[in-house]
Amino acid sequence: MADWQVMSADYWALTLSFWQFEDANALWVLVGSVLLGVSASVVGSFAVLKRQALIGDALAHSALPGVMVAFMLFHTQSPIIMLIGAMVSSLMGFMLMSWLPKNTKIKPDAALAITLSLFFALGLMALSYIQGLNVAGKSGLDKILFGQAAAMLPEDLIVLSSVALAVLLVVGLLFQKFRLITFNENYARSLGLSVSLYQAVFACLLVLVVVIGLQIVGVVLMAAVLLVPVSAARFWHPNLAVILWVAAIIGGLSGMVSANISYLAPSAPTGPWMVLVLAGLFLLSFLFAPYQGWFFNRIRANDKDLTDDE
Amino acid sequence: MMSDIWILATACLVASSCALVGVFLVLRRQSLLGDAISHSVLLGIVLSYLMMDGRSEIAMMVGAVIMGLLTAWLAEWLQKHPLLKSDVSIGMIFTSFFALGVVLISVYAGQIDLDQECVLYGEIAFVPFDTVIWGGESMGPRAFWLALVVFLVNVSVIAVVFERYRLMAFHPVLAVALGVSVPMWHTLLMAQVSLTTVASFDAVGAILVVALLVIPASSAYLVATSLKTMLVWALGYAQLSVLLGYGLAVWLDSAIAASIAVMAGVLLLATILFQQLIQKQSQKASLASEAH
Repeated sequence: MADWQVMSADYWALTLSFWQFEDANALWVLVGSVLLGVSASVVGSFAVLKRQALIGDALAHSALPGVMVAFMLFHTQSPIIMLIGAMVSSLMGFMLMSWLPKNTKIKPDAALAITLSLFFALGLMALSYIQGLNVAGKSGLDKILFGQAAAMLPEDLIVLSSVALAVLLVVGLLFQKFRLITFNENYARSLGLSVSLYQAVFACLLVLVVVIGLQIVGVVLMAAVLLVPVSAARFWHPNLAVILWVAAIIGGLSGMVSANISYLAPSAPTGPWMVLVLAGLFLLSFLFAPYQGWFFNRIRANDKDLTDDE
Repeated sequence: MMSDIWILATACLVASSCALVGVFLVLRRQSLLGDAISHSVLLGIVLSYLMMDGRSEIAMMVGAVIMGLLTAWLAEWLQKHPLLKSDVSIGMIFTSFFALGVVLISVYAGQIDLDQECVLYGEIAFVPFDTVIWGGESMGPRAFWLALVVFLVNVSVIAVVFERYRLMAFHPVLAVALGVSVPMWHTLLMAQVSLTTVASFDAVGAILVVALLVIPASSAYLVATSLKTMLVWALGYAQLSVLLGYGLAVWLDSAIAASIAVMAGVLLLATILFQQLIQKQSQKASLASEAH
């Protein structure tokens, strides 16, 4: 703890310079993290409301072998190639996860755990294999496990930010359709909506968000960024549109704080810090949010008791 | 050569413990709770390092069991809230605990003899170097003895409460009607999961434990016809995964724990493929006999 107290003055100076945007790279990290936080929480909201909260966890773990195989094939860490590799293997994970319960006795929860751990093990095996190889440019591959925003280049961040913006745009355009399908699938079908098409689009959005989150949040904790913001937001308001806005703000805030932390401590893993910020915001919402928070529920219950007594 | 044997023996014991406990997780559809506990246990281990100012097996076990039970209990408590579903509460708790564990490791890097690498891969390759010395003589690796003790605990617990666990797995409603205290046995099972995870931590890391918990048990679930045979099959799949995985790791010079987990998955997929083929064959045969 002593180190922290001695250095706290420096930390303040650094934080100040961070928020004066003196460092162009740090500014990009900030933009990328905030956009990632926002888009992940918005897409994650639908996943949680459809009772598919942990699918993002499995998808994120499934991306690992794709990134490693892409590196083995092309010997580069260019963001586009890594994105494509991650997408391919995430989709394969998604397929395995949905195929297993339909065609074997294995239950959905076990299928999720199997997919997650098998793909993750494949990825780690490939990573350890690569680290034994004598190739250039392999350092930093392990950063996608826990994320390290500070290590990212502005080029990568520009790609990630544009993908995040595109995801947000698609969700914005299809919001009505997604809402209908999330809450009343049969009704949507009876209206002639192609439910399976929209579900496929949604699965792609989910995979995209997970994949762009890999370098900032990391494989292991990506699930939290998808499911915590919406869970917190539900304590603020019953309306879906409002929930999405609140979730986006919470996700963006956590991105902001973790960008700041990764500026202060560039070697620290970003993902775990982001998750801790999210956990704090959830706790705050759980206790003090106006709609269903513990504190106001308590007050309302008391008021009700009082009026009942009269 | 000797070190190869120690590594294999440790891995076999770890995989066996995981397989036995995993059978009940898979049957009770609580694979995800197993996943969550195996992540949370990290925080217990880190806290025990900080409190004891170093490594102490007993403190690690106590810390891990406390965090494991806390995870199970908090997940259950949170999911009672109308706005939170079970997988949401599980996901939230284990990610927060795990994140806290990793952050503590990075902040107290100088004081904790753990790093992110060993959280992920385990350090089974180094198992032979950390030996127990008793009466001036080396008694073999510490991780091996830990794994052996936990394996024996698991076997004896399962043997003693076999009927209770069976009832809880197959007829939970009947179990309640018969007056079996389901929460109590549930807690015992969760404690077993936590203990097993902490014993496996040295060897395979915090995340690959999930593979050993769920995959061999799922393979066994596909082929077994009763709880007893499922336990035996799960043990068999686990041992085969360890042997094949170790061979794979030597061949490719890859991480041992990850290779073992991969082989467990390969065996599961092979089992499924085999069953699907047999199913196709019998469908064909029945179609042919109908045609005649």
